[in-house]
Amino acid sequence: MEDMPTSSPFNVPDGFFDDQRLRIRQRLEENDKPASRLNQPQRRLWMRAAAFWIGLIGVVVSVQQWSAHNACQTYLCLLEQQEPSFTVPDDMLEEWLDDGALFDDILLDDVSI
Amino acid sequence: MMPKKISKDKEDFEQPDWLDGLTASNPHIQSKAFEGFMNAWQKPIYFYMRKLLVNHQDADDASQEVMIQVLKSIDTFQRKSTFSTWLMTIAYHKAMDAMRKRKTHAWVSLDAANHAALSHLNEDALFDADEAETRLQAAISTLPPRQRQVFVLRYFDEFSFRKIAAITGKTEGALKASFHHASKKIRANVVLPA
Repeated sequence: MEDMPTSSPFNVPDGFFDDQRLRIRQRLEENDKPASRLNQPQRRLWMRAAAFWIGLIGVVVSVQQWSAHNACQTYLCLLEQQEPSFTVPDDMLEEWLDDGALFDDILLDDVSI
Repeated sequence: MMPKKISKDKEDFEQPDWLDGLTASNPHIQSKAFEGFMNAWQKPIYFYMRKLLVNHQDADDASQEVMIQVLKSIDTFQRKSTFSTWLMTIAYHKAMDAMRKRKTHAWVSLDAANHAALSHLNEDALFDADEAETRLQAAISTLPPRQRQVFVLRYFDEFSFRKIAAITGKTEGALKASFHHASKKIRANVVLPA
């Protein structure tokens, strides 16, 4: 077994760290090879396609907003049409889930900090 | 039973001397800097991942990904923080991804998850600990990802909440709450049955 931090219960196979270092070096060297640049025209093509679709989505959204504007031209009208929102922001929900707090504390209302 | 610490807060304001060499154009200097970086960080990053992911293969993959990303994106390190904080931020996100990929299903009870983790550890040839340590590691491995990270950084590596906040991008208050939840769950699982 490889030498490890004092008192750690985790062991590693013999020579593991040398082997990992070698693998990392090899991967970095592969990345440096100019061969990867051969993919550049393909990459540019892919980026053009992505730009086209983003542009198209932008046009569709703009047209929709323009139509909505036509349908409802006053602020009061827009306000009346607005549905009340009860959604929880994604980041807050993620935080609760990460903490396991959603079921333990929030839904069961058992906050005891 | 305290594994090696990743770093100490008092070292936080020093940048490592091999740092400039990582971006050097001279291959000899770059190679020396690579060795310096690996000597300083390879084991700490591996054991950080191992404490979070438990399984050797997963820790190997995740730690390798961290080091590759650090070395590939070293040009983007703007020295607005310490190198260790920057590196630990990358490690934190990689670990988060790895833990989320194999997240246990929500409908598995905590007892069942803890039991499964205990039997995994007992069968692991690369894990060697007494019963109390095994129960502690099993309890840690059943925590939700962020709580697990906060607990490991605070309990094993003794990072301040301020430093953990800099790494995770969360507020100190949220981190203290996470640590509190984690400690409560661990206490419940580590207590030996009468």
